Parts: sequence; structure tokens; C-alpha cells
Amino acid sequence: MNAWSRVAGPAYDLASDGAALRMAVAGAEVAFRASGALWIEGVQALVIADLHLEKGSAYAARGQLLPPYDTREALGRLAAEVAAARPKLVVMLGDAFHDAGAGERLSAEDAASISALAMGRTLIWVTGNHDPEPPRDLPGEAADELELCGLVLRHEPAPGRAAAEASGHLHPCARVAAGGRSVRRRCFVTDAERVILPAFGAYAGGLNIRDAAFAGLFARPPLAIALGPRRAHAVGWRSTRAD
Amino acid sequence: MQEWLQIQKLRSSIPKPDELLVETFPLSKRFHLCAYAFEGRLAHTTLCMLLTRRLERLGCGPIGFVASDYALAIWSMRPMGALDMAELFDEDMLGDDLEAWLEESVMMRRAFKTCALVSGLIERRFPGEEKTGRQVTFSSDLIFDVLRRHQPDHLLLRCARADTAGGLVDVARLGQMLSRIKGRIVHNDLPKVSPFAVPILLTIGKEMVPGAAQEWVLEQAESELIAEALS
Repeated sequence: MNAWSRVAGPAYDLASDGAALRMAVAGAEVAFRASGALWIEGVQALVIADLHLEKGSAYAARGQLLPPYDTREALGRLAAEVAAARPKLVVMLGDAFHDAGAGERLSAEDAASISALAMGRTLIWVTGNHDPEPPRDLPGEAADELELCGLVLRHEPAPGRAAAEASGHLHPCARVAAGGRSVRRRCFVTDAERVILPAFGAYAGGLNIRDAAFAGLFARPPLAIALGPRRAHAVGWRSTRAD
Repeated sequence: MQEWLQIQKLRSSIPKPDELLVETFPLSKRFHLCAYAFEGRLAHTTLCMLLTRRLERLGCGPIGFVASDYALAIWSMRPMGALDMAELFDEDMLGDDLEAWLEESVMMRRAFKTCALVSGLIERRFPGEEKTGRQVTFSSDLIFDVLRRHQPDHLLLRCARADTAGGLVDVARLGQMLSRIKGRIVHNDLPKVSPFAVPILLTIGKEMVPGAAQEWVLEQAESELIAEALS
């Protein structure tokens, strides 16, 4: 059953093409992919937020010995996304690296898979609060923010009701309730004016979209696009719960 | 009590000592299957795991289950009344992949969390503790997912597997039961819930079937949004 063949409701105009949900955000055609990546149709760009590479090794250095596979895991998923979507442009929406030393801790193998991602396309590293310095020795360009198809792409959402923006930083997660059960999933959150992307990193935690940090960012009750293993699910505000 | 048994007899039936009563009925937009096996919670939980896996393959879309010492209940997206119960409860299910089920299960994640806490990999958070903006403490689920893919023989995963298998599974007793009830299954497909089913449906400790059931919650929420948009 594909219920979202086209539902033009009073609230949101969404369409589905299998794994992704399509919608216009501030006039730009975007697709919310099940992986948590945002596709910007006009420029064939794939946008990824909050990879937090080398978060495991950052904690290990401080004594919390997390299994060191998070970078490999996240890059593996990213490579699969790039292979599936074939973007011309890949934008890392900030906090691609967990800390300033992450670039040096990156294994040669992982650095090589980043270089492989840049083959035949442009990589843009938007700077974030965890990685204010652009990465050295890695392909791609650094930027504080950039504009694509009328959308401003920046790491941290501008305070208040900023329009035409795609950002990350908050790691949105939704607790979705239906039929007496609930599940917690990473999600996009959007009011069709701005969109906040879920964190892509393997060890990146999530912040419930009912948290105060999201209050005041949207002009109307936003839509959560919850990530499932096969596709993204559009969920109304009323179906979401606090933790 | 008499009255309760009378109604059970009227609506469904009361099984003889050597019979297994299986009831199927719709309830609150879902379809239920209850079996009164009296084999203890462990054997029932094991049976539920194996049955839900079969039901998944049969396309019934099982969502969750609950097991008590006396009975078990499974609920699903699609009706189970037309199934051949003799086939469903056949002994050959013991050859099915119980380990694969456990690997995917919520119980395995829970056991892993306990192991991770005991080993000091993550710290326990207490209610009332000051919350930080974004989660600084680690969700054991995230570590679990990464470890399972990249180091499936990790010591903590092995511990979690052992804990899950030891604490939840009783294959021997299930085997005895399945051979005993062979040819003695009484299946009643009912229009609504029976008196016998009420206690098991009110039992605490409902478990979700991994995978499809969680997507079911998302799909339900999605269809509510569609209904809202079209109204």
C-alpha cells in the first residue's frame, strides 16, 4: 500500500516515491530519504547532518572505551547513499567530525573512503560547533553556510522562525505513538518553511522534537518524517510524544 | 467464577485436560490468538517467538505477544482465524531459527544494556538527574547496532546472548508440550474476546515482535495523518 501517492491536504503537500518522501520546502523540491539524508532536486545535492566521525575514539581517549567502529559504520552508510542517489554535490551540514583532533585520528582506510566519495562530485563541509575548522588533507571545500535552490544550508538553526533553511545540530528524534504502542526514531522535522535534519552519525544521540529546544522554530505544528528501515514515514505532530 | 466459566463454555469452550485450546478473535482493530498451554512463562515465551516468526512468514503481520505461566497471546495486523492450527503448532517449529529471533529481539537489546552497564561501558541514568541538552550519555542501542555489524563476537554481545537464551527460553519443555498436544488442538474462531482471554490480555510484560511491528506503529501514525489531511 502506498498511501502517499499524492495527498494534497490543508496541511502539507507530500508525495512518495518508494523510499523517499517528496515535498517543497520554501519552494525548493526536496526528498526526505529513509537514511536521514536530504535530497535537493534542483541541484542534485545530497545533504547529511551531524556525522560526528570519530566520536567513539574521542570518548575512548577520555576513558569511556566505546567500540571504535562508528566512523566506518557511518561512512559505509554514506557511501551506500551516494551510490544510490548519485548526487553531483554532497553537503556535510556541520559536525562531520566530533572534535578538532578527529581528522588526525581518522584511519587511513576511512580517509580513503571519504576521498572515494569525492570522486566525480563536489564535497562541501559546512562548519559546525564541533568542527569549526575545515578538515585538512581531505577533499572538498569548507563553508560557514551556503545557498542552494533558495534554501540556506547552515549547521545550527537560526533562532526564531527563519524561513528557507536546512540545518542540523539538534539531532531531532520523534517518539511516535499509534495503536497503544510507541517507537522512537530519528526524524526530519519541517513546517515546509525550514527543515532540520536528523543526525547521520552512528553514535549520535537524539533529542525529542517535543523538547524546548525546538519550540519557537516553527510557524505551525511541524511534520516529523520518521526514519524506518525501508522508507521514511510522515507523522503528524499529534502522533508524537515527549519522552 | 461459575458464571465466568459458563460464559466461556457458551462463547468458546473449556478444554479437556489433554487438549490445547486455541482461540482467535478480533479486538480493538487488531487480531488476536490466545493459547492456554499451562507450560510456564519460559516455554510460552519461546513458543511466542517461534509462532510470531511463522506468522510473519504466513503474512499475518504479528505485532506483539505476551506470555504468562498459564497462557499466551499474540496479536497481528491480519486475521489468523483461517490458519491451520495443527500446522502452526507443529513440532517442526523447533528447528526454526530461534537464535535469529533472539538476535533481533527487544530482549536482546535489554540484555545488552544490562551487560554494558555492568561492564562500565555506559552509565546508568536515574530519574530526576539533570538532563543535558543533547544526550551526552550513550544509548546502548546505538553501540549495540554498531557492534553487531562490526564485531558480532564481541564479549558483551556473547554475554547478552547467553543472558537472553538462559532467561527466556525453555526449548525442552516446549518440545514435550508440542508432542503432547499433537492432534489435540481445539481451535475456536470467535467474533469477540472470550472470558479466558481476558487475564492474559491484561498481563504486564507485552513484547513487540522485532521489525515489522515497529514499522506498523509508524504506518498507523502515517495513516492518521492522511485521514486528517483528507477530512
